[in-house]
Amino acid sequence: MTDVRVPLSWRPSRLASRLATVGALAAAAGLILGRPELVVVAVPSLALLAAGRRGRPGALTVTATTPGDRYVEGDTVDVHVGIDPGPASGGVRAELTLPSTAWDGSGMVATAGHRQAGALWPVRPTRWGRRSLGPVRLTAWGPSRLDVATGEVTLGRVDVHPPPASARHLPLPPRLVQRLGLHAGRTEGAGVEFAGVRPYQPGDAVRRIHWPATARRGRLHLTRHAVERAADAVVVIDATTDVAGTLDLAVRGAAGAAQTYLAAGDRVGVVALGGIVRWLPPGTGSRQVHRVVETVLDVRVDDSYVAPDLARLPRRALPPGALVVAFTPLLDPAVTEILRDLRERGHPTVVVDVLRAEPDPPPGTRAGPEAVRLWRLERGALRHELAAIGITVVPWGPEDDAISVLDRISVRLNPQLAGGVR
Amino acid sequence: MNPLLAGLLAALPGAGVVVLAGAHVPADARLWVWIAACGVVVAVHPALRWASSVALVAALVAIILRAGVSGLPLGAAAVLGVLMLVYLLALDLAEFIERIHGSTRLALGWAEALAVPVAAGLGAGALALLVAAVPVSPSLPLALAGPVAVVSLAVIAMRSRPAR
Repeated sequence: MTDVRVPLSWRPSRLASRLATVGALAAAAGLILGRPELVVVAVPSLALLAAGRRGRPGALTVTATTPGDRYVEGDTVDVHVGIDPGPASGGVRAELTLPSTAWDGSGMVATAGHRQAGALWPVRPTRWGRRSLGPVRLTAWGPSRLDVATGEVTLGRVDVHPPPASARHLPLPPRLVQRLGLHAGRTEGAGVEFAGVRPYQPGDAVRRIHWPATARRGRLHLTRHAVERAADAVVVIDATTDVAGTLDLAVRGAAGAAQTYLAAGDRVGVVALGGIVRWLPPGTGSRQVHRVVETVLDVRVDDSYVAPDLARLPRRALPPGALVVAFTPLLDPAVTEILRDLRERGHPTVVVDVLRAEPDPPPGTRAGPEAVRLWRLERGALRHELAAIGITVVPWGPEDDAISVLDRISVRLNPQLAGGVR
Repeated sequence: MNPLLAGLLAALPGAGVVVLAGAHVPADARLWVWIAACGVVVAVHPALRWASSVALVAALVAIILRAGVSGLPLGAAAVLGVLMLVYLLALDLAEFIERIHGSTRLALGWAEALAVPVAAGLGAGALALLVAAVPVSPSLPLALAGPVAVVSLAVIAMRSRPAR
């Protein structure tokens, strides 16, 4: 609940201005021209102006409540608003105007006299981020509506999370960490995933005997199961530039990837590369989902002359062998260097190229198309160079979302998934 | 309520002003009546209401000046003044309730907030009518005396009235 006291500074209202204009014009004309009729015409307006009360409240209180402070894009946020105009008031009007780039909806409530006003404004956030509920434009009238005051107030903030994503397949690093998880490892262990058969050896559990193989080969064979391990993943967001919505895509992709890994019981960390390097050490569980999203919501492009640098990251932010999934437009050479560095440190690295737009040359220039062609060649060379050192580059296509991008990465890393086999 | 509909309703008292002024204007000054009528019509649009008030009162002054040496009867002038007041109040009400649901409740609260000063304004108009009924020649000091007394009394009454 937010209780906001809005101070008011008063000025004459439109009604007062009109009454004064009509009264003054008619009275002045009557006095100058010596015509009593004009003075009589002016009298009612001037009488009302003179009789109006001046006891104006110094402030009014606005109360706003929302059922929660965390929402997902597209959720309905019910804003309960109450306005207490105070003991002496000629009316209050409150109008909620939210920026259309991030919200869908508006609200208005009014009260006259000294009555309290209450309203329920259902609004819908359309873009992730930390969003302010406002501004609410307040107009308050004095006791006889001859004075008016305006003010603006913000009804608090809500966190709007990107929509949850759950990919069918997960890109996994070649080596899983020595921790119990849901992914089938390459070695034999006490999992449930079938990994083959082997001859029986004394001491093996009898209930694991594979009877069809035993019958075919004439000696006892045992079912082998794959060990089940967890993975460490670090999602990297390139916040050095934001060109044609690349940061938005990067955040959506990062949030989707993190949620998918956490749903599979893996440890996920976040590193945001920008003027300020933000990081979250890998963790598991539903709490980590919130931590990841909170970190992701703080990501923005900072104006800074400091290039992002891995040296500023603590060791626990990048566990050895963790899979790095980087969402970047590949426009900043410093970020490219960091990707190379990560690969050289032994991290399996996947890059999602979130740049979907191309440079738009000025029309009518002959060099423009050539420049675009060169730019494409440079981008292709960069991707080839990254692929040569073992970094998988996946473009974020026009029709893609976070889920389809993760699925494509999985297929690239594990070609056997291409046929739809999980 | 739709803003244009609210403006249309607010223009009705203004139309009364135009009709009353038109009834007393000589035939060679009908142009001013049409100008006043236009001033009322433009008040339907929210952005033009200020211009409407100014146009109407300017046309009114012109009509009274053109009414001849005998002038407009004081009774008619008092009714014109009251109608003008009602018109300005109607514009204010229209601006207040437009685009908002629950207009009846708002209109009642609005009337409550304005009841006393409006009563003072109407009282001043009524006193002007009484003055008009006195069988003496209309004079400026007489026209001023009564309303000034009413306004003074209203101001004193409002100052002594405690706030709720």
